[in-house]
Amino acid sequence: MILSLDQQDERNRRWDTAFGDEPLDGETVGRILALPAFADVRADSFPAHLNLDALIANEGRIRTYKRGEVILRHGDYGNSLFIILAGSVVGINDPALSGKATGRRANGSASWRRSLAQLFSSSRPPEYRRARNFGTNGPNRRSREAAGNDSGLEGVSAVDIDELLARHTTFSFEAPQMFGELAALTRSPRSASIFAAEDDTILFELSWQGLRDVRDWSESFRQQIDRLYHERGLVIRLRECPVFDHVDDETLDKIAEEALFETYGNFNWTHRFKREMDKSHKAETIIGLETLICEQGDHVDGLLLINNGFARISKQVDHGERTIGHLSKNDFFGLDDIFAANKGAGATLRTSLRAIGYVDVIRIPTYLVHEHVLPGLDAGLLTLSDVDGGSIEHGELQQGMMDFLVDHRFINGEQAMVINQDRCVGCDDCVRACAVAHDNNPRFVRAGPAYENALVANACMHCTDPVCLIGCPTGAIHRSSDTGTVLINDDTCIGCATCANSCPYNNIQMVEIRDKNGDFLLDRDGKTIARATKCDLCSDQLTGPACVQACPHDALMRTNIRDTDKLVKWLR
Amino acid sequence: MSAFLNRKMLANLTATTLLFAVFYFMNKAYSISLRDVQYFNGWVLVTLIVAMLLLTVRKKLVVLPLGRTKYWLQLHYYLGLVTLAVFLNHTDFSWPNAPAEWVLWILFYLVAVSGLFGGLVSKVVPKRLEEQDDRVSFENLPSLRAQLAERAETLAMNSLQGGDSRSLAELYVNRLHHYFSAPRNIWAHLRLSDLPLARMLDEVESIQRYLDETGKSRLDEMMSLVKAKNALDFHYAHGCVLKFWLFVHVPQTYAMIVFIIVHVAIAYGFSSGIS
Repeated sequence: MILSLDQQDERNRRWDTAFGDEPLDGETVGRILALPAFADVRADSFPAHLNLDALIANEGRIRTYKRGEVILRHGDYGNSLFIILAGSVVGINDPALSGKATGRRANGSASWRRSLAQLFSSSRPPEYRRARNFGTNGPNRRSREAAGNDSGLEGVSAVDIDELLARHTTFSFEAPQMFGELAALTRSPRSASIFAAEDDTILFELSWQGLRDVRDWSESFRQQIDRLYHERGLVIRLRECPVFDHVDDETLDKIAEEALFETYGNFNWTHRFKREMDKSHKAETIIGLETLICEQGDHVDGLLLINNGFARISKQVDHGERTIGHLSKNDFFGLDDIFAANKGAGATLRTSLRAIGYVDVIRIPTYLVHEHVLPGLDAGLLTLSDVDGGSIEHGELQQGMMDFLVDHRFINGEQAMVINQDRCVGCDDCVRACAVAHDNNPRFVRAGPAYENALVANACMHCTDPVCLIGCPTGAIHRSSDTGTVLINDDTCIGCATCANSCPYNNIQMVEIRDKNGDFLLDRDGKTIARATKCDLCSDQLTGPACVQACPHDALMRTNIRDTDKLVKWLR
Repeated sequence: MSAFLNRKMLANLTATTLLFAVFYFMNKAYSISLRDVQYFNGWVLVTLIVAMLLLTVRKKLVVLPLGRTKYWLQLHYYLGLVTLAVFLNHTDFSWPNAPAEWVLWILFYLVAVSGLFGGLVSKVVPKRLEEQDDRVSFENLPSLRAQLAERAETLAMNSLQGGDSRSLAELYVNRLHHYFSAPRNIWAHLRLSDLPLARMLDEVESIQRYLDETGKSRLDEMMSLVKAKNALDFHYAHGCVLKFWLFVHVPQTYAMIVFIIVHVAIAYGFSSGIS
């Protein structure tokens, strides 16, 4: 949608910036929609406000690669889907090839000059935004990459495909196959590096926003994508799981054929979670909302492998459930019980498993585990003390902390801000430092749920599974491809608050933007303009998180909450 | 080892002692060579004070990669100890003999003592606050206190509604209104004394014999409000200590710098040349 000059204002709108440099032309859109992937997608099943042609034009782009060029890099965070239009690609699952060989580089946006300028710049009103330059040639359209959603692959030199094929186990795709759906659907890092196998390999790349909308409004497309996700995700996950390290590829394929793909909980768990927390303010009741995957005392029915999401292991104590652990991607459940059953110690589960919000599980039938997994299994993968009749329960301190972290679902946090209240003097140096790093706008609140001396502050935790990304109409909230830091691109944020409402931890704030005089900026309807803001982990600073740098008493740290040993040690 | 004396702290104290020992022997060497040692140890003192001021600079330059502030604070603490020892040496452990120097001497000790006090309370007070059930932000205390006062007043007023009970309202007017209107018993809280709370609760409880069941339940509620207010006062007292020691330390530091400049100018103005 192009607005005339007198209609232009500072409000960003969806498709102000297309996914590519320009929206795709009608001919290209027609060619895309003629692909087998879209064959059953019917334009009339889309709502009036979401025209399929416009969606493809704005949320898709055409990319051309030379032989050996990197398309995707193992470990990068990306959420777009690729469809091959011409040529073919070669993929490799080896994480060793994700580093320098594929041109991984450090974040180069920070500099001393910029930091010094930041220190000595004149004071600005809160939430000031520089006015956009509306030239006479129409609005200043920029592609989303130019506006900040950089893939990080520009300027990366090509690899030698022949050498790659000779030295590694590879897989290949050709037109009109698709790839990239696994990372897109699970908001997880790319599980393979993909290279163009031929010159002039042409790909159609569909952004997450496009993929989400087509998937939402076309049942056949949804089934197609989900089938791919299950087929490929299953094998990839089995290969990544240490339990199958000693199993050969042929047997693994056999296991994959028999394995079941199951989903528990609700994909949109966040709203219900927030509602319940607001209602009761008692996190301990949250366990009641969690879908039971298998219950203590049930017959052992397979080895469960967590494919995506989080699960809680609990044990019944008197009239309640005691949390004794939590599982995330690549963790497994039931192996000890299968092992114990194999030794004749009983064939029932000694603990329960629940979906924390939403979880994808791969179920491997018990007989396959007996037949192929237990023989030659690394003994370290079994919690032997448990098998021997001991206890895997945690000590009292860790138990309480475990309940606190799991009940509040903080285990999703990769970079949660934890404040040690035994050391915090309340000087607010952390808040001031955050403000200095963000044009006098602090991006967190030094308050939040606490257990004993640990306070988890209201600062973005840069989650393992950032549910805030799911609903963003423009992709303004995104993950840095290299580090996984969740960032908001202010140039494409339309202020819809979808991310803020989705964040289960209330760590995204909507602010009303102002001009240089401190007056609220208004759109053409006279309404104030909102933007989403949150902690960006000072990703554009030389220092890393300014809050950590500034704390004089070592009372604040950013940490992966699942690293409980580190957390508990630091809190002592 | 205790929280106050751990292995890292011992290592830092050893380094501090070594630094002072180096100074001491250099000072002795100057003295033996019959040079005016006051200029030497005076400039050492100035250098140490400037080095300590770097903490403030570091705090201002928070977006520059100059090391975490916690390390600068540690440096500030241990240089502070060395500075104190060098100052004692510079003043020869005695009261100075000129009015300008008296001021400088007093300012230095004010800064040093407030700094030591600040370092101590920064360790002690957060733990004390943590021992309370809920940690309350200092900035939120006034509004929380106002909410409690309003609830107490409403409770007292409601007790008059039946027309047959005035004990609670009288107690509120005579004693509790004053108690809820502002932070109370600051010094007692800092001494960790529960005596004022115990006396207040006794006083509230003393009217129980005049009340019916409804009145007694109101009284119970009033007692819990008194306890809640007491907890807020505890946070206020300790929060004040954490906030306000800096109001002594920082302004006196700047005043001291001014007097140091004056002192150096006078010393050179009336000297017969550097020995």
